[in-house]
Amino acid sequence: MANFTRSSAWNAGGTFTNQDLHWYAIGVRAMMARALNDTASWWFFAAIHGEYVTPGNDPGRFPGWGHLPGVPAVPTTPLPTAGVMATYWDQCQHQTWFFPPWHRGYLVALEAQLREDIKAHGGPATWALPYWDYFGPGSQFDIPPAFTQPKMPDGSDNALFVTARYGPNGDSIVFVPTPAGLQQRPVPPPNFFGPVTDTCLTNSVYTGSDANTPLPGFGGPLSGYWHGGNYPSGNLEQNPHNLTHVYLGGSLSDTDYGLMADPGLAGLDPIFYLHHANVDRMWAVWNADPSHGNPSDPNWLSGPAASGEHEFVMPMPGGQTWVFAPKDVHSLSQMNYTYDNLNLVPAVNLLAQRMGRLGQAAPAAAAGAAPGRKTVELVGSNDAALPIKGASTSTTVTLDRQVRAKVSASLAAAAARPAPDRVYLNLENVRGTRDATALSVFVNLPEGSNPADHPELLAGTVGLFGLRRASVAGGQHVGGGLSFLLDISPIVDQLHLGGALTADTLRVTIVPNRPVPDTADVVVGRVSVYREGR
Amino acid sequence: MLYDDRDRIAVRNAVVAVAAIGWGLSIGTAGATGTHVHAPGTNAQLAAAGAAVNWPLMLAAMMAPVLIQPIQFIRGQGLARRRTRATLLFLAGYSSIWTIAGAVMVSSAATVHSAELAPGVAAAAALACAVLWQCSPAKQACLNHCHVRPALAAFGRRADTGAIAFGATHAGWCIGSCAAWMFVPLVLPGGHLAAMAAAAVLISCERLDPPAPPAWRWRGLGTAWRVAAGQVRTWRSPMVTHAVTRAAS
Repeated sequence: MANFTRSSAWNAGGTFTNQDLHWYAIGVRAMMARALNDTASWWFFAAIHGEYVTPGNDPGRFPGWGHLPGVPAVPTTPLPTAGVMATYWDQCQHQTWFFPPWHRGYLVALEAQLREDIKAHGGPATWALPYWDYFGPGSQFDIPPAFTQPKMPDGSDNALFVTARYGPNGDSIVFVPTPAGLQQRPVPPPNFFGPVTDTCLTNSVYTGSDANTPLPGFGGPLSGYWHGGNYPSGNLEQNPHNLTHVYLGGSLSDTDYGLMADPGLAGLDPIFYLHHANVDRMWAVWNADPSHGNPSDPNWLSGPAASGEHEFVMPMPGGQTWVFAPKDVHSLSQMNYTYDNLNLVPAVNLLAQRMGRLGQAAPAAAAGAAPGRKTVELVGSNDAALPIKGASTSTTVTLDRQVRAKVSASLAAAAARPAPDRVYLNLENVRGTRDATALSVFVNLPEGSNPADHPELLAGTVGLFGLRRASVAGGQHVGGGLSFLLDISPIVDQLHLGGALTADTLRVTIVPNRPVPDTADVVVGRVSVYREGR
Repeated sequence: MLYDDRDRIAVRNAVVAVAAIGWGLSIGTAGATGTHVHAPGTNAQLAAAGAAVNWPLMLAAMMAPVLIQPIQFIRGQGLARRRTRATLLFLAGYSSIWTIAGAVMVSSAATVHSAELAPGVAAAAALACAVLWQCSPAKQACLNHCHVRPALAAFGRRADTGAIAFGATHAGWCIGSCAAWMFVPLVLPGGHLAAMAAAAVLISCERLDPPAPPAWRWRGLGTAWRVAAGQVRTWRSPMVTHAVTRAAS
């Protein structure tokens, strides 16, 4: 039974009248007063996610923790012992199916420490971490006002305010560009913001794909022992998680970006935990549908320790340690908290929608029948690495005629198959150091046209959260950068219906959220198209 | 990039089969000749012929398992109808570099044997060098590069040259990572197959290690041991909860 209820940060208008936010600020202030090597300190917890303060990670300039602007003043000493750092620090799980459960445990541990500090300062023993539902009604896409004020109502410093939180336009107006947010806060050209959405909640499977779920699945790709990096983010992680990080952090200049934009800085910003509480809530909402199951694979339940990797470890109040695995946190019913809003998202039958678009009857296979053997193969790719410059960059993807014909055939005879082909655009080996970048990817956008005029050609938007760390030659990604998958089946369906799926090429246009200067270093290693057929 | 699961499994099974054949023939060859590689006092021409036969078998037996992932990668990077071509070109690039390295190692071993050192001296020196290299930052740098998966062209001549280049480059880093251990069996007075087997186990296990900053440290079997232990724990009792320290409520 839940002892605590996490509530919306926008209660009471998102001001300090909301007692959850008031006491959150008190708790964060208390944790910030501790030393870097104190397991109960704000800084220690931030480093659990990722850091640029240890000798191996500190570049000696931004984004090193000693080179961050304004408030908070981030300490760089004293470092914990090597053993403590190896046990706790740099654990964040991204581009893996462990993304949701690890972050759930991370929040539990932080919340526990905050609650102890809040109680010590006279606050309620029932305090729970609020969540920021940026998809909420009205203007809840805006950051709650309590985070924007340097001072609290009593004149003391507000620990929820940070200098390096620049927002999507780099003007410190911090909001999440949801569809409602974009409607109410038009984007000044040449900026372009692909929307942050909760479309992932319509997925049916946690890992893999089905008629309702594009690869790699709601929760993330299957990952065990290290396979070679270059895994894409799960659908929940890609959007809204990554995009929200990138947009909230924003960038001030061509080199400096906000804390939220980089995994090695994000835990320093108090808004991080409200964002992740909402991501966690979304996982719980997705699970609330009885047809949406988490993996039963023992390798997921037992966590990466089953595959020889670092187990999940969190410090708990009083110097205790919590070792956990997904099997300990996979259901909200196991936890000591719940949310005040777990409203189910209406189920959608995307296959039926797609078949209607294609003008065909439902597939021959009955709903719930075996999906058929899956085939995945390359349809085509561009021929060179693609530097991202200026307001948009285009490349030509050459399609193999034989494989393209398979796609056309599957769409023409979709009713006779378990499902029509799904087609993906793959951005491979994206490297660079500008984490605060969102790339909106268009297919066959007419040259010279305004991207905002062609939402039907938008394949999707990806946030380069983690770009710098993934591009380090000696790092976990061996300098291979990040990879992204976008489901372009709706666009391909329209090309097929319009008789245009006979061309040998696709024109792919990549539009960054803000123009990229020539001196910047964002490069896409390869743009490829794959088909997934059954 | 995306992988086709059926193709991945087929590659894994085929490469394991090739390794098994390599071992079988290596054992058979050693049984037929009384030795596996060049031994002291052997006629030079006979030794060269023996090396030409045994080196590819040694390579297939010891190195094939660590090629499963690169081969899966190169097949996934290209068109399905080019998968066999890409695989063969990759292997051509890979084996050509290893052949050169093998010629150097075999002739070096021959030189060592012709020096007629006291029994075991050469082997001890080779083993010491291999252990030192195993712990070195340079070894880690080579291991890290063995995990690199570059974006490759999908069409035409560039797809072919890309596959060959990937094979050759991968071989270079493989040699940097593994050659010291490959040399040890060549200079042993006896027990070559056992040494080959031990080196092969180490080579396969260390490929499970994730990339790490180059540094002086013991490396090689840790990840494999943890994987095995983790799998045993998982499959014996998947729902046993680790000791949990809950937040004070």
